[in-house]
Amino acid sequence: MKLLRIRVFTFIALLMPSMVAYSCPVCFQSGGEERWAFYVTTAFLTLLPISMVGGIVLWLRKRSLQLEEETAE
Amino acid sequence: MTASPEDPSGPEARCPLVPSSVLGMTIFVLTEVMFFGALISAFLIVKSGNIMWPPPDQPRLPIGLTLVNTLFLLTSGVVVYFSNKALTARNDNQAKKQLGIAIALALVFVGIQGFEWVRMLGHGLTMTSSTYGSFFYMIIGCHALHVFAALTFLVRIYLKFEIDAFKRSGYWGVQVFWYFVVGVWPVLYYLVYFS
Repeated sequence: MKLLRIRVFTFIALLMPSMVAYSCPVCFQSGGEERWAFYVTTAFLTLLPISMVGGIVLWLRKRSLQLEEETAE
Repeated sequence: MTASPEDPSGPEARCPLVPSSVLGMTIFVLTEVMFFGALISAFLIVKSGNIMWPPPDQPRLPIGLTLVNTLFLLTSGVVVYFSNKALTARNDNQAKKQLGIAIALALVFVGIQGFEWVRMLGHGLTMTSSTYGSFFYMIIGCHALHVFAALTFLVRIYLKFEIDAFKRSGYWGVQVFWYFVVGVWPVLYYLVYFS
């Protein structure tokens, strides 16, 4: 129990002197244009994989229908 | 990924929708699109956060020479397309010849890129000189690495032509990769060189 307390206090003590961590430029310098770029690129990176996977599925479905037609002939 | 047309005379025939090489390479290319998408996004955010872009103390990128280089790469993509058409028409010699031309054009692209890089380094644009330099070498360097990899595949296919160990499906897979490398370049050129 004593060891656990020491560990918890050490952990809290280590947290106290730490500085705020910035993960990206937008976090500490979010001007109008930069924020806009952040929104646009977030939307872009969110929609890109969905549209690509959707495109592949549609392409495979089209190919499947094409093969079915060829087989039926 | 297979279609299964009914065949009462025997076991179910399985016909692939697309060759495995093409599907595999397409999935790989999708991951590459995300990779370049992430690089471009980071570049656009950092660029929009800087009032002066490119930084005034950094050398300017050679837009004119790179435009000529872009034409070499795009032509290479078109020649590969015609090479595939010749292959479909069972004209193997023509396909091989055109593939050779495409490889030569790609080599010219890589050569000019290398020449440009040496000049840029000489002018003081390095990975550590500024964020501008870091993004330039990161984005354009990653593309150059992809061109080099795709070029290796194309040369391998060309050599297989020579020893008659050539597989059409293998060539199609390489083509998917090459079209990606060629297709992504104008986007990178516009975003990085014209920023």
